[in-house]
Amino acid sequence: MCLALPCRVVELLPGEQATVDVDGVGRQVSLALVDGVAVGDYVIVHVGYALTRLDADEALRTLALFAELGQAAVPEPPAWSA
Amino acid sequence: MHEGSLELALTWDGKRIVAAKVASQRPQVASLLRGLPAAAVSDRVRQLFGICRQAQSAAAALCVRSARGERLTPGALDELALPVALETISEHLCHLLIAWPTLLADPSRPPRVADCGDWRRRLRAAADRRSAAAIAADLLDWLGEAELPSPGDESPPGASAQLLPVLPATEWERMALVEDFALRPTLAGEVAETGALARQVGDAAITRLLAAGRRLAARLLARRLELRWLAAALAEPPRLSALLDACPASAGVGVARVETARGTLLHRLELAGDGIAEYLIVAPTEWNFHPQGAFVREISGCPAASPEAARFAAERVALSLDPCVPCSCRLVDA
Repeated sequence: MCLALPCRVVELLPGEQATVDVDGVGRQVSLALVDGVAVGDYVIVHVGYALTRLDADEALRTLALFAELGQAAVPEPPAWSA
Repeated sequence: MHEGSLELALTWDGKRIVAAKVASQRPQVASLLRGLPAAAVSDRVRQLFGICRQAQSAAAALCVRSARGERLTPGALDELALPVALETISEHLCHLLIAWPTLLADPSRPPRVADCGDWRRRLRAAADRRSAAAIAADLLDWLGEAELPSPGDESPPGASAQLLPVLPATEWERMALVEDFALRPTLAGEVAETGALARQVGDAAITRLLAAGRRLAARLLARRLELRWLAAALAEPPRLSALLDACPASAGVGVARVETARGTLLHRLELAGDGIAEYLIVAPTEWNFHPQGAFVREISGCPAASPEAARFAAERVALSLDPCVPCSCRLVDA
């Protein structure tokens, strides 16, 4: 289901691209579908595109929820399921 | 912590994909919803589900209201349906203008990112029915001229899954909506495909494509037909209420159905007092990427002369079913 982790923009790149921080790993995404993104903003990313810009408070609250989920969740076994 | 993922393992014998398996990692969000005051659920759901937040929050709001025994007027349903419709249009446009051209990588038909961005900005800014109706008129004009992506070769020859009919929430309430169902949903014990194709299956052109075995083309055409329907319905808002409904299953229990870009979304909740005791979400991706579902059936047996061809065939089928989480393919030798 389409949960989406907010990603912090760490660097703006030419061609409406940016590097975002995903769990400590830098990933390049397109900013072509959102306006006015600056370094330090948070965005929701799907298939390589930033879809929504979030304000920092909202993003940090969402990240705190995901952290809680990460601690509470019992991961599904990674075995192939069919 | 990540937002979930799908891994598609393809067994390739040098000539064809002989088997496919789906491994899905799904964070269990119920733990973040249990214990919340009912009034806070819709906002919490909106916060967690960034991709289809309007559909998810509408489903949560409907569930709470029905569990409280509130009577939902047509006007209340229309109000909830408008942002869902705008979001669905936005998702369909991204699928057609960006996702397919990116996968097909045809230099003569590059992704139309700027066009998609313009539509998304307008759809996001549509605050009321009047602005939504203005977008609808422009969208209908644009759809008259827009060319659909060509999904490439003929569809894989694998068996198809039944198409999930649009069922009202009262029908879903009669089924056992429990955790196992949410992970691997079936209808009457059979896997089913949900999404635009399942909703548009009555159309004659869709029937012809399906009869010719061209399911990928049928799914793309279904998206365009659905965009037309949504644009027409935006100009005539009571029609939008077909996108969602809810039923009070019994005192303190609510079940809601919302038709999203990717298919039918179901929410079920139980209240204890005015707090959430149980919460269950059945997402469209779980139908289409069920371990024996549409993706697995369709790609199994697909001819592929090279590993690259096998991977590309799987990526095309996966994209046509449009998973809502990141998806990766890997090949396993037979």
